[in-house]
Amino acid sequence: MNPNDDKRLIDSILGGEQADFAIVIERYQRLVAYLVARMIPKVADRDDLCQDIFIKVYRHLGEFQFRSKFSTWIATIAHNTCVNYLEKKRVSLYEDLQVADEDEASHGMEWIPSGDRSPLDRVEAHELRVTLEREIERIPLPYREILALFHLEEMSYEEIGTIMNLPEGTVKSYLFRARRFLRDRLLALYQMEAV
Amino acid sequence: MKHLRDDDLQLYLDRRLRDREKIDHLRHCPLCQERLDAYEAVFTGLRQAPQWTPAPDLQDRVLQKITQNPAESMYQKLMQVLVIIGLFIGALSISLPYLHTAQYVDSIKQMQAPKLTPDFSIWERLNFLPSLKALAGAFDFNYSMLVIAAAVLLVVALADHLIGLARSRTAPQR
Ligand SMILES: [Zn+2]
Repeated sequence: MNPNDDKRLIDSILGGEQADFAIVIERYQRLVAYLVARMIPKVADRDDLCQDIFIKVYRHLGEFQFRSKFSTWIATIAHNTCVNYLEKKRVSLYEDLQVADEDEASHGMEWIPSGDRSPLDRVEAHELRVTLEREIERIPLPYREILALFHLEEMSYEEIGTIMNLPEGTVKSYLFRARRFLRDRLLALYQMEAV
Repeated sequence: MKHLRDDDLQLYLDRRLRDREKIDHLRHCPLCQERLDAYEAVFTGLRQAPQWTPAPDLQDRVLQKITQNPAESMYQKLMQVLVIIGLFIGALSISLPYLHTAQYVDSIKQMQAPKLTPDFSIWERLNFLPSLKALAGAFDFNYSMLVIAAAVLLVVALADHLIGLARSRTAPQR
């Protein structure tokens, strides 16, 4: 989104044109929805959280200093709101993801590439998607969040680090670990079927 | 050349692998190609949006909240004050008979319920709003009127709350 565009929009809302906030929602609803969908397992609570996030964005609009992109700022509010919600629900936020080290199991589980087609090529696309979605839900929170911000919103490690308050290096290593974990899971699942 | 590491395969799919030698290897090695394919399936899936989307009235609900008339929130505060005053008067009127401890102990001794007609001399003794007594006299103000006043306040506040709830449940008019 064009930063000047955002600036003009924010100025207009702060100047009293509350109705212009509809444009903010329209522009950033997708970002907020992706984050909430990936972070909050309980579907029934997601709508209320989206609403809370945008109300917070509105109330704190005057504090936005244009030091980051508007999207980064909104995503930070979304992240904090979701984390607060999960803490209240006593959901464990800091689980680790156990991934086999590359040198231990060189190519994930018992899979040894044969130089042929990958076992995943034989799986129907829709089925693969459903399985992957289910597997994503099973990985710990920060990994899910990074996957959403990186792959769905195409944010940089730096932006993601700002939003989640993590060092860039951690963001990167979590991202690579999560993707490797997912590949291993899918291979394990479909490899078994193939045999 | 050695096969590519997993991280390099991921970097390649992120379009961040810059090492020409590695890219060349990847092009010509069927083994690495197969590993890359497995990752590609994952990456393709990760780019697919989650199935969940917010309710279509999200925008309306947020706008309704933020454009809420300040007069309306003042009105809500007024209602809250009414509830507090109502509760205060209610609590006071219920406890009035028990403020006369001696009388209460007496009545306990005689196994009688405490007299429910309050003795307003307590106001005088505390010099607490002495005019209230005169007022009470003028309007034949008694204990049951206090309770009724509190009850009316509470009923009004409750009715307002219920109406508010019913309004917020209905679809926004547009
Ligand atoms: Zn190779």
